[in-house]
This record gives sequence, structure tokens and C-alpha cells, in this order.
Amino acid sequence: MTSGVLIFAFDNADIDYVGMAAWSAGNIRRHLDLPVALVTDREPPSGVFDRVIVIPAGSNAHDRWFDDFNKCVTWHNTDRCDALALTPWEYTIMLDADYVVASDTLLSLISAKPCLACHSRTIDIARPHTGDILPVFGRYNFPQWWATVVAFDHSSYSQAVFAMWRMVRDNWQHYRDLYGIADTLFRNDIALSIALCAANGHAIPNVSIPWTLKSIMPQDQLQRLGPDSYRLDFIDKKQRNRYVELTATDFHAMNKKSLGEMIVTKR
Amino acid sequence: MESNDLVNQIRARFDHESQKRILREKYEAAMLFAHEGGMWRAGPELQITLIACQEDEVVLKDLYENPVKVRVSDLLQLSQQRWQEQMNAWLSEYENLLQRR
Repeated sequence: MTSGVLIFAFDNADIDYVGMAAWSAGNIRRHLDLPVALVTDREPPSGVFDRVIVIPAGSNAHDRWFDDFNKCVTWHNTDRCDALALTPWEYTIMLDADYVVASDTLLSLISAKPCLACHSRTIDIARPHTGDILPVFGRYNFPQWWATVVAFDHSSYSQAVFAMWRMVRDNWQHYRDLYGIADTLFRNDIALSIALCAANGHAIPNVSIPWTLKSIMPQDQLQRLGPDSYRLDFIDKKQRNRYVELTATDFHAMNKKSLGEMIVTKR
Repeated sequence: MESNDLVNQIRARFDHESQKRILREKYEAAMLFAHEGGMWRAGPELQITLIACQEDEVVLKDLYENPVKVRVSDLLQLSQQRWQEQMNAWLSEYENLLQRR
């Protein structure tokens, strides 16, 4: 059975997602020794990715406010539900371009191969005592899973989840009304959460990756100290400047500006 | 990096409480391992379950609640090895953390 990583990356005027994916591909090979496929809208530099899948990005863009850029940025994020159809691998770990692989933790998913797995718990690295980030969504406090890391095979459950995910995308207003979702912007995390339960007979599925997703919030500053060592500067609740260090720990860098600058300058 | 950011970075102090929690999350993830197609968490709970087994070949539920046939001695050895390795690494990082003031 072939196994590999799949990354979706569509550049915009402010964020070089393909550059992030290229940097991530190097980390993935170093820690996981897995091939990396990229889904994008234009040919990237050759030799960086094992497979490149080019799809048009024209129809899937919308504007979203990014705190770290302090403005609206064009965002292409609605094609993730096509991952099962697009992936060249029999077992796939789909990662956000801004997910930083700094350890071999994800290998346990490749070894165990749960038919579908994603994170249900995510914490803010700088403020871990504040509890999980967005554990629920909508008026009815429906449990939320995260689309940042999704491991999947081609089983009937995975096919049902991705088909349902696509249906939620294509009928976003209907599902907003149904679940009482205030956000007008389509969100993969919510669509995936709805799909996971619907495909499981409207019952809570046991698909959670059994460790927390560690996230860096948009307002915090990331700096690279070494190959797998990072410093995170943040302001705590008493408005004091604080920092922590991350060594050999995977994390989701929601501060794309800081991550992008770090990759470009290789600080 | 802007000069204000640089000043803030120099003034910033190490956050011990957050760092302790990060270490805990890191090593809780490191306790997980795959064996015979199942996902397991190394630690006392699994090891006590395995020690309580009368047969060397049993069926146990993994973390995804799937039944997995395992050889008790193999899984026990893997669990103990991983648990001790990761606890030692956790202790080492924790002691380094305590020295940072």
C-alpha cells in the first residue's frame, strides 16, 4: 500500500503557500520519509515535490480577514473535499501548508492506518491553560474536528465523509441555517465535522487523533532557533512579553506572516 | 522584524507554566505507537491490562476501539520500552526547564 502526504497550496498576493509547502516537504522527508504530493494551480519549481496535481483555482477563492496581515486576503480553501479523489496515495495524510512537521509523531498514523482520523482537540501553545480552541461550533454546540491534519484511506467510510464534505461545501447556506453557524465564510473544519457525524449515522465517530493539535495564534511571533527548534514570543493576559520554546514538536502556525518570513529569511 | 518587535523580544521572559504544559503535550503524543495495525498509548494502564492477561495471545481494543489480536509479551515489551524512553526524555527536558530562571 502506498502512503504519502498531500498538501493543498494556492498562492495569493500576500502569502506564498507553495513556498510553505516546499519547506514543509523537506521537513516531511526528513522526519517521516514519506513522498509529498502538492495540489496547486500552477507548476511549482521542479524536484521539490514527488507529485504535482494542477487544478484551476479560479472558482474557489474568497476573501478572509487575517489578523496577522491586518487586512482581507484572498483565500483558496474549498477544494479540500476533493482530496480523496485527487490523492495519488492509497493512504494519505493531508496537511495544511502551514503545519510544521518537527518530529516523527505522524508516523504512528501511517503504521496504524485508521480509516479516517483528524484532530478534535487543539490548544494555543502560548496559552495552553485557556483550554481547547473552538471545541464546538454553531448554535447547538456541535463538536468540532480540525481539517489541519486528516489521515484517510479509500474505505467506504472515507468516501462517504468526503462526499458529505463536498455536499456541505456546495450547500453551505443550508448547513449554516441547519446548525446555526454565524460565520458566512465556508470553513473546512465545520464542513468536515458535519460530514464525520453524518457519515457515521449522525452519531459521534471515534476518529480523533489521540494527541492535541498545537497551534500558534495569528498575533504571536515565531522564530526559528535550529532545524526543529522554534521560539514563540507572545503577550500574556497581563500584557507581559513572554516566550516559550518548541523542540521536536509539530505545530500548526496560524501566523502565516511570521511563518512566511521565517521561511524566506531562514532565521 | 521591526525595532519594536526586537525590543519586546529582548524584554520577554521565559514562560515556565506554558512550557511545562507544552512538554506534557509533547510527551503524551510521544507515548502513542502502532502495533499489529492498532494504535496504543504506552503507560501503566496498558501495561497493567497486559500483565493481567492469562494467555499470551489476546484480543484487545485499541485507541480507536477496534479489536486487535496481539501477543501480550510483544506489546508489553514495546509499551514498557517506549514509556521508559519517553519518561526519561521528559524528565531530562523538565530538569533543564527548572534550571532556566
